[in-house]
Amino acid sequence: MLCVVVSAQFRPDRVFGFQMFNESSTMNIHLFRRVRSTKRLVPIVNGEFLDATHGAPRLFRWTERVHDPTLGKLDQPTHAKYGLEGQLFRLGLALDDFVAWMPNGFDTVGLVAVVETLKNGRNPSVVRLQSVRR
Amino acid sequence: MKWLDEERDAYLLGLMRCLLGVLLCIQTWDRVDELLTWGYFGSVFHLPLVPEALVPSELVYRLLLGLEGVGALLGVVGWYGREGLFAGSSIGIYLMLCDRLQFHNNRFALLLCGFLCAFCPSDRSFLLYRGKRRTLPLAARIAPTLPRRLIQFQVSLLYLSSGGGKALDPDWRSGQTMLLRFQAGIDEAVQAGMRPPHWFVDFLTSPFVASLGSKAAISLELGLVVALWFARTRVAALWAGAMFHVFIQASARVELFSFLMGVAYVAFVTPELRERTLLVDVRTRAGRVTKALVRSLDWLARFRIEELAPEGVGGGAVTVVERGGARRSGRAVPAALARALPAGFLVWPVLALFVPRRPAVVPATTGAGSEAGHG
Repeated sequence: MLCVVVSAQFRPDRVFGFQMFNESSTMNIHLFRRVRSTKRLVPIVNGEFLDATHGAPRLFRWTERVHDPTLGKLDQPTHAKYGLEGQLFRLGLALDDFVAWMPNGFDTVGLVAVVETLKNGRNPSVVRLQSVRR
Repeated sequence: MKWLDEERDAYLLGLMRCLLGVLLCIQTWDRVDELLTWGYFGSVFHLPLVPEALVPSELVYRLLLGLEGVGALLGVVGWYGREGLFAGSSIGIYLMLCDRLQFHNNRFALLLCGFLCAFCPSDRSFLLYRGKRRTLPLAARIAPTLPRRLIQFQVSLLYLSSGGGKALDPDWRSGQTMLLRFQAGIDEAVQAGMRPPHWFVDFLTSPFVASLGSKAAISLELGLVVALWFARTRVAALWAGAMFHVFIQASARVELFSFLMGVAYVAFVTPELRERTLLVDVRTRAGRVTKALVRSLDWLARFRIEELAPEGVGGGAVTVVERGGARRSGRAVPAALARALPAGFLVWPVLALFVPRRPAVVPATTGAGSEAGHG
């Protein structure tokens, strides 16, 4: 038990660490996708985008893969439960998961998250996370 | 060492097992509800702490949730209750390790409490499946209660981790984090259609109040780590902790956490039963009402109820004889009752204000406290 609690301090999201209400931080996630045809990032509106392979279109939704109530909210300020560091860590992995889950052959080759963060109401900053299909 | 081989009445541990079983049932049902609403976690983005190969398939996950629920139910009724609680909490901990996105401090704390309670001799009372014979006789209830100390230790560790983390955080110490929480709470209340009065909003969103509240919360949590262990401070600590959790329950989404802490506090109650005596004159209305009230609210079995002998009548309709033998009568009775009855515990300090400065205390020659403290 002690080991679990102590080792939690070394996990970004402090899980199993009994760190209740550790932060009052907020994050606002904006998603973009990287496509083959252009160097510009294409914004993902309402968490969904249409892509095609061999002429067959398909609608992708961020919440198809990401059900987490914090990470699933896009384009609106959300309380970063268990802290900013933890949520950014999880978001990076969620991007990797989404990109890896997309079938081959689509135009989308990667996702970029631009996250506006506010740690305990102060120090506004923008964090950029990306995941590219390997 | 005294704790290692102490043997105490395990009656209250049965109550803990039963209540933890109820909480685990509710928690399991919440997870079933999440499964029905969101689908199987393993087929979407999840973050296991165990190797992916150990994450159960949907069918196995459903089966495990069912087993967790059955284990929790067994914990409630007491039929193989310890085994049920052990299985239920172990499955819950395993499933939590399969997806850290489903981790919540309150859920983990409940599972740990259930796990520890399964190692306690909690199968000697509240055996609901036995009907009226649900409590074993005293001789059969006396058992080693070291795991009870482990539950106490877990409660202290929880406060230490929570309070310590806040104490090390400058934003918590300054009140900034709490100020934002207060503001968020007010925003939520407004969104829900409530209209808190301006003075209340101004009060809560004042940096001074937030700073004071922060320091009080940190001090309280760190104070509880120690105060719960000493007989002199235990009752006050339990009261302060209970108030703290009532406030948290009212102001934040913490699921079953406050209820869990209420149950965990039972581990700090003196295990021996009915060491207080309630003397009532049943010929009076006050005596009859008090008797009925205590009989229905004495969930921790603190009182032995006796009817006043005719020659004893004259000192009031109701008298409470404390564990140490002190007698409380008149205006001191409500406080003496509230101190030992969970339903009245929160108002105990208020009632204590009405106790005369020099209460009628008559040391008795009989009765001895085995572990001074709450209950």
